[in-house]
Amino acid sequence: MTGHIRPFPPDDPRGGPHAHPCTHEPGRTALTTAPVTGGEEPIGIEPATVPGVQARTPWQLFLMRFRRDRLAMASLVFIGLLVVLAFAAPLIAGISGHDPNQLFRQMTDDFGLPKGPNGSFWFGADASGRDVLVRIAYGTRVSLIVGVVATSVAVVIGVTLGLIAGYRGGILDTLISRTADIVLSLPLLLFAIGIVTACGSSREGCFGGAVKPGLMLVIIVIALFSWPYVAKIVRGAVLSLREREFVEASRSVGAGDLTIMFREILPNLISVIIVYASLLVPQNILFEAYLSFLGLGVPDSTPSWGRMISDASGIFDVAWWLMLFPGIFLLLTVLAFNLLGDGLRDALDPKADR
Amino acid sequence: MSTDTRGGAAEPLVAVQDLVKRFPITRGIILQRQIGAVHAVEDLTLHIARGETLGLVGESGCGKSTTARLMARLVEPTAGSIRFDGEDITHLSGRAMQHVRRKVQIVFQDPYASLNPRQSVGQIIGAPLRIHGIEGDRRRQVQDLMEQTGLNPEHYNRYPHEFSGGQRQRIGIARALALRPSLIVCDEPVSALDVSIQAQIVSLLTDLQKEHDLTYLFISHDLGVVRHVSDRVAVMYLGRLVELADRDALYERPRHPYTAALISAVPQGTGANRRRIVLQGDVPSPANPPSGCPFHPRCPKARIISGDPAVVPENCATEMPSLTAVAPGHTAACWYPLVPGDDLIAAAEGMAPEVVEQAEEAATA
Ligand SMILES: Nc1ncnc2c1ncn2[C@@H]1O[C@H](COP(=O)(O)OP(=O)(O)OP(=O)(O)O)[C@@H](O)[C@H]1O
Ligand code: SF4
Ligand SMILES: [Mg+2]
Repeated sequence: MTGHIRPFPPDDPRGGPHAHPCTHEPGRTALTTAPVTGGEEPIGIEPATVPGVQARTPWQLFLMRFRRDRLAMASLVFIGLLVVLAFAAPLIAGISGHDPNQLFRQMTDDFGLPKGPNGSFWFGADASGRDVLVRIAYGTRVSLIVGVVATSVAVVIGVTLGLIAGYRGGILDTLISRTADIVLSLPLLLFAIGIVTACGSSREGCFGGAVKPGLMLVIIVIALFSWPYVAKIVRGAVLSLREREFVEASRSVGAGDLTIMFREILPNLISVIIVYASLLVPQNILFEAYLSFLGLGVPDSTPSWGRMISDASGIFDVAWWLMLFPGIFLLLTVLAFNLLGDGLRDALDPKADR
Repeated sequence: MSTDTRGGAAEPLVAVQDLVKRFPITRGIILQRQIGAVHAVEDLTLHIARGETLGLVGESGCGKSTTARLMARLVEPTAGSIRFDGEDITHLSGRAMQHVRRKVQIVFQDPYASLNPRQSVGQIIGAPLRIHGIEGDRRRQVQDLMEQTGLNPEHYNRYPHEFSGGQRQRIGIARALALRPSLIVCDEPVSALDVSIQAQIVSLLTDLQKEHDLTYLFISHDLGVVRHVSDRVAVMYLGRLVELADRDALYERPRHPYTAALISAVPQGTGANRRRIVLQGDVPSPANPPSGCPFHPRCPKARIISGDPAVVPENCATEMPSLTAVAPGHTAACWYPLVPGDDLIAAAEGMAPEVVEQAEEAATA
């Protein structure tokens, strides 16, 4: 630096006391007098934090906003109860003494029609004389497992591919984006039916026994069809994030591509991913119900809401409870996850217009 | 102030030779055809001595940030070379580049955009230490850096949004300082800040320079700040260096008409000799720079030489003047460097806007 540190001196040849456009700014004189280190900036100009208010982390701000959202909180409570129900299914079976696959002769009449709700069968029985309440409790397990696991698999695949496509661009991007487009343009239900019937018709499964029928197959099929949604959203977000200056700053201190992708960009995607995943869960729960409705989901011995609704379809005019109870559970569950997703989005990004 | 430990003729820390950066302009979605290029930096040659501060000024879009990014090797040069500490780093990559990264750091203009909102201050300042595997207690090292840059070390776990603009810029400076670099490129480090806070950041930078023997490339469009911090000053126009001189020489005896116009545009109160040189026309597009001297469509000095506001001398319009010495340690890229008595104010006033437009059209046709 120069020897004489006398900024904009009054004897500056550029002219008198008005040597600098900022001469009249109160803070300008600080150039010569301000303490340089250890100094908080003068209060009143740009306070670091609002005085008296505890600085809040993004997480605290999120919690504060989320708690105020009644619908989302109610949904969260409902989902919590569902989880309890799923875990407590054997307990309910034990208390009522009704196994989910146990056939109760006394619950069907001479014409083979089921009997409705009573003191011991609260939700009535199905055409085979099985306890609907117990089967709904077990069905909760299938719905939640499929919804959560298939979504998680889709999110992991989608985030990884979306990050690579958005960050690297070029041929990888073209490859990933076109694959996603193709998957999205497939007539999904037809295709799912194809895979599930091909692999689910025999006990040996297909692809040389690599894919066996059952819950796992349903999860794989659903994940296969839902990752492109995640990948596209993530790719779009990465495209703008990678142009942000902090990415360049990170490169300037020597960060490599992996560090930038996973340490710099990924944390900025968390809210997008959480919101999207919570909206994908109900979609995948419904998807499982469709497949089960068509008889392509989990085997009949595993109770599933979709399967129960399907079984009810022939006789629901005389046995309304068969359709009503699993239908209500499915509806409320899907609704709760959707409301939760909306609530998360609002709480994570209050500026986003809807 | 520089202490050259190598002895002999002082070898500059940075030597840039004929550096060019052009950004292709493409059209078409599937088959991208290049239909032109933005000439962001053209034939840039300069050197920076150890321990000095080289100021770089110019209007928006003249290529200052591109120069900064080239120096920090954040964009690939189209042509030319960059030598750092005697080593050609123009096309280094991998481990060799990591080594250079420790020595060359950059402070960005926007203290909001340049910090990751999802990382705590500790993570941000600690990142260079982590990436380069610097030994030691990281938390202590980071808090030490925070203290040096005037931040409260107890704010280690806070997030950028909890800080003011000035404090954020301190975080950016602490990050740049973490690897103990010898060169820090400051790309408009105070332009986004309140005036009162600018002064604090500037004095922080000067103090750190003394303490750590730093060399600065200090970029700004604020001539006052550059005058305050720089030993020498370079002026850019449309991607080219038009003048380079010791600070006082440049501000008191500018030889390039563009420099003179820039300096006269700094408001200076009520002195006698303080009328502005009002340039006509806008800065031409760097995608389509004028022929000859890039300044000729707007240059008042060229009109003094030709004696006619509508005419410029032949060589100004057709030949690019190169940077040549006009005095010891003072170079300017102009066929007719200013001499005492040149009345640029009057010459500029005599130029009608249409004249400039016509000249620009003729030059870029
Ligand atoms: N990545 C890029 N792609 C295409 N053009 C670019 C890119 N970066 C910069 N440019 C162009 O190069 C020219 C110089 O830009 P640069 O950012 O270096 O200017 P600057 O002097 O820093 O301006 P400012 O004062 O606005 O920061 C501008 O015309 C700009 O549009
Ligand atoms: S070379 Fe000619 S046009 Fe360019 S600055 Fe000098 S006098 Fe003006
Ligand atoms: Mg810039």
